Amino acid sequence: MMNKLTQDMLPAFQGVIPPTLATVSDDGIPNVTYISHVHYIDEEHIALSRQFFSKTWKNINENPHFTVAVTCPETFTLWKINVSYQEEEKEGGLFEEMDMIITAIASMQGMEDTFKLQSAVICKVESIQTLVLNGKIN
Amino acid sequence: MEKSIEFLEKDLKEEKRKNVLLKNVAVELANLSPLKRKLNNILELLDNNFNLKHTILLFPAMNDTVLRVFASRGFADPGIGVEIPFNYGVVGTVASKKKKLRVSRLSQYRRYANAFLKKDESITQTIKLPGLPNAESQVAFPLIANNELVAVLSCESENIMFFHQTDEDLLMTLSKQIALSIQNSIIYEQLEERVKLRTKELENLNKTKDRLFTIIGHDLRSPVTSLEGLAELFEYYNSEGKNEKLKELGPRISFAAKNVNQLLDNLLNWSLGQRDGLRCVPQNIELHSLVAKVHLLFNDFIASKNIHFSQSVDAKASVFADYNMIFSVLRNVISNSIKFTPSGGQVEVSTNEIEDKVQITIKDTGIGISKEKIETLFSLQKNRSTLGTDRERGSGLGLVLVNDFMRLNKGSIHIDSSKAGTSVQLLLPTQ
Repeated sequence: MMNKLTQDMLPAFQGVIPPTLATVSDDGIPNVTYISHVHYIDEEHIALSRQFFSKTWKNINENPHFTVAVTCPETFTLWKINVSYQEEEKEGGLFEEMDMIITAIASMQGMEDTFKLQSAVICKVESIQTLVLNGKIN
Repeated sequence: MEKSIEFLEKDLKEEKRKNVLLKNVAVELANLSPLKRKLNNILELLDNNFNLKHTILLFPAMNDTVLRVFASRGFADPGIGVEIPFNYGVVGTVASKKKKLRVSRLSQYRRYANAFLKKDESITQTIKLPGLPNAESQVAFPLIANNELVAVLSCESENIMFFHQTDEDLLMTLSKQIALSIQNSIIYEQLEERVKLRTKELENLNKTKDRLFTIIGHDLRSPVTSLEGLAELFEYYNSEGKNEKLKELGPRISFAAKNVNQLLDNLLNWSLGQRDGLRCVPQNIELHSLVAKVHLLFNDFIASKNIHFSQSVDAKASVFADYNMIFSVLRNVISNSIKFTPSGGQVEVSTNEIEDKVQITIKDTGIGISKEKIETLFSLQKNRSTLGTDRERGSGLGLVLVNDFMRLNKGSIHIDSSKAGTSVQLLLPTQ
């Protein structure tokens, strides 16, 4: 099992195929949701954009260990990434970079006030598992 | 082992491809061409080398409040000249944040946002940038040179997978070069434009100078000739021993010499003014003594026409202006009054204070100036001199100069005239 993100995984972070996010509450109830995309920081870190998710956010605060599944849109390789929540950023370069896309979409719809990035949720990569490779379940 | 060789080969191929690409791009970017051609060339280059088929180049305008489409490629409607606000959409956000932005699955974002929109769609889609109706991906780059946003490059595709990450990074590296290349073209065009403008200015200046030479040729020659004639007459009367005639001749010679002197003075000041060399150095000027000085200068002239000259200038009246310029203004205006007042008439100089300004009025009982003439008095192109009541010649320059000097000293000139005489009002600041 790997614990570092590799170059061939990069296309999976472009948001072409929506990633899946699975969290668990303190009393063991799971929550699975689609998210628009996962942001690649470096080979050991990713970030999620926190706009609305209330249940997910509640779960992450109760249990900082969760899973993200990302798919490469070129090869359809599917990876399961186990991460742990580290911190949230409400300003700075990373926040601004992630905020840009939301601002851009919202401004076209005249909804700058509704669509706002609350924070960039920074997570550390714990382990990576390849679930689907070359169209076959690994 | 086999696998690593395969990887190395792949890497090598990729590097080779990049190399060729960079070479192609560098050659084009180094060319200095007019802006429009340069922009079209850049878009063609991106099409051929990066397979970017649908592109727009937008420039910041109106003090960085809007972006305007300057070139586009691969759209049904090229949309040249379309403007969007600086914060609007992907392109606007890239411009304001000066960072590149990639958006995939555009249709999904459109649906996502529309779900929140409910019925109020009036605010959406009001701005029609050139674009693909079914765009799925968009990448926009800020083109920055010397820390300045030169343009925004936007690329669209209907394909969800377009523009590989490695190419995107390569283009980001190239964006600075593209920006510099565009900036050079802009400067090149501006220089061309400036040269044209400057040439026009020089042509106009040359025309004025030509006119100046015509005036000198025409006007300086006659007073000098008349001075020469008077001097010859002096020589003749002297040789004949006609002392009475010599006495009469004295003031006329003196006046003729002053006339030449004043004209020279005017021409010199004028030509300096034309070269932007005339500097205005304001100071407090006591008007009483200045008017007295002008009176003294024209004493012979006044006496020869038997004119009654009076001045009621307040002993304390003063203005804040350039001494030489105001002296010249008064010389010109007062000598005009004398010139156009028939023998036995009156010229009166008075002052009165109006708020923080002083008005100097020069009033005469002269022949007056027609309305049409007043309108052309201050223009060098139109104004021609009128002969005085004793056929005194002028240059047509005096009042043009007066107007320039008054303007330079934050003053103004107003003329009232009828057949009963003329009143010239000069308004100047006291501080």
